[in-house]
Amino acid sequence: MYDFIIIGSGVSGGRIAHELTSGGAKCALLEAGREFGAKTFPLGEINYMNQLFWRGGLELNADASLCFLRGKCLGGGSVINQALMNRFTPRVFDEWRQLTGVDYFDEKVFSRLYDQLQDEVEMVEIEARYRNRNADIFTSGLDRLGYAWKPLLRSQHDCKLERGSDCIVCLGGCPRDAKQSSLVTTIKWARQKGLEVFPEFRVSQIIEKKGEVKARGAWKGKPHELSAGKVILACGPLGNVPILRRSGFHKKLPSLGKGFYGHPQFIVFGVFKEEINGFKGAFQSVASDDEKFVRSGFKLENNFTPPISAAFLLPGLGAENLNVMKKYRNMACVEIAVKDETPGEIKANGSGGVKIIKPLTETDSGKKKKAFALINEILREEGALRVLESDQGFCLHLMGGCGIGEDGATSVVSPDFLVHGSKNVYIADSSIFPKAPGINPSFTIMALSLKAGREMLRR
Amino acid sequence: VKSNLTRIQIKSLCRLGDIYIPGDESLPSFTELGCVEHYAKILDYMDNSDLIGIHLLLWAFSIMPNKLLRGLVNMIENSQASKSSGASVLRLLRVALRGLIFTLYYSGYSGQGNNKTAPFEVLGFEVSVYVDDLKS
Repeated sequence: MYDFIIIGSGVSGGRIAHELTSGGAKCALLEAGREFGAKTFPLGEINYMNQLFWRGGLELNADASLCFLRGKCLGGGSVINQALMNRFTPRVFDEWRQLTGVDYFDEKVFSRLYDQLQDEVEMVEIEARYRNRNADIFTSGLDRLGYAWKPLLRSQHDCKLERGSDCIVCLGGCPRDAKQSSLVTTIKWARQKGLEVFPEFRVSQIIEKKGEVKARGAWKGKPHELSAGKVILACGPLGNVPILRRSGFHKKLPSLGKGFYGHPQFIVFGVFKEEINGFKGAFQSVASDDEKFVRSGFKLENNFTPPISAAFLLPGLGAENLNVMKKYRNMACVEIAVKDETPGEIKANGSGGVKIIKPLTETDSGKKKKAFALINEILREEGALRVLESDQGFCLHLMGGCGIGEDGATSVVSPDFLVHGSKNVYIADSSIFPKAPGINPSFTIMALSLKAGREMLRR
Repeated sequence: VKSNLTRIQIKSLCRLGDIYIPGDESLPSFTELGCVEHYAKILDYMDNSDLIGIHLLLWAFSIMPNKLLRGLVNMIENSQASKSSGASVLRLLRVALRGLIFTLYYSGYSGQGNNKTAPFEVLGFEVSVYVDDLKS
């Protein structure tokens, strides 16, 4: 029997595993996906999309207007994300504190946590000399129109940009372990302290019984069960909610699955006369940092997509799509992330899976339209011959569904990270977020998990 | 559910693929590229429910006349902004078909009979990460 079973191996699961094993706890880490490493990550977009993402990255909401992307491999989202580390602003913490009554949602508390993490995991800004032409177009356009921007802080180390490394490759896992995913940091450290890792373990339900919790499911396709004193759910909203539902928690927790957010993202392409080569080098290095955008409920990031995603996201088919794709080298690209106001809900479908109710409401759609108009202006100012707005939205920042709060009638997780009514089941990942922050969530998931891990040890 | 497609389903996928990617003087059509040979790189990793859907779709499309198939694809492609009750099904089909076809075509893989320039060469897509220092 273990002291703790951690289900999910991304930013939160890895961090908690590290904290607990550092404190001497006997832990097991369960991950539904396979284990890959620098030398074994599937090469090429077709292979990594189908092997490292749930449903090939094409998990849809009920009205099929948004795709939801989440990692399915040891290291979870931290293997396939872009390693962006943004601190939340005091405004977000103030809003969350008011909404939940949780007093540690305070900028001072989190500043200390962020600082500790930054001391431990390598984080860097891309030097100006390594920004590619796509980034230059973005920053020049923002400067010209009088909007502020900033370099992005990324959790990476020794990417060898000076030797021509193209970071877009690392969307399918980094072949030189430069991306500081949980796979090469917290999970690796925890393994050295005795963490037992179970890849390809799909948990169907958790069963609480007399001071013990069982995680029941299938390991490499065969029924398997593990026991521990405590269980920590760390598979994000679309993983945690179905496990809790299948385990019967929805009968006592009316808020389970509610308050789901995703920062819906959209891409705008600009076609230029000259070559941009947006896929080369450090393909994502800067983002908007303007109060006007924050007030309008969106942010912009310089970004680029590999060919499959580009063709998929570009509007049209036939010659229309093909002719734009032939200008792939001449394309610039800007990404919008909307701070969604209207929460969605994660429900159960008939077969024990999830049904995602997350329409893009007029309020959130209005933010997208405003951002589209602005990017149009930026790209045209910079000389784009054509601007193409993608009509396919996608969500990478999956948050909520197990909201934190004092009251079990309106929230799922208490301020001490225990699921309401349980003494043995914890959650500290993005599913406890009470609202969309409008900021990349990874760094704060890490900080929350650091805090939660210490709280679990203290108890 | 098996991920193998029948000859009829493969033919159906190629017909659809050529509507999405008809090819031109510099780029091969979906069929010409022969990328369909690599469909298992997608289907082998699909959930059973998705796989059943793909099998049924390709079978249904195989008995549709060309004109009807083109009409349906156009309807599917115009479903994004629609608020009608059936639009969500059309959008689901849109994601499935675009996902399958563009993934195969821009995968970097081609079939044995392809004589035209590969899409990556035309696009100029060539990326790598420096790892020579790790080899020792």
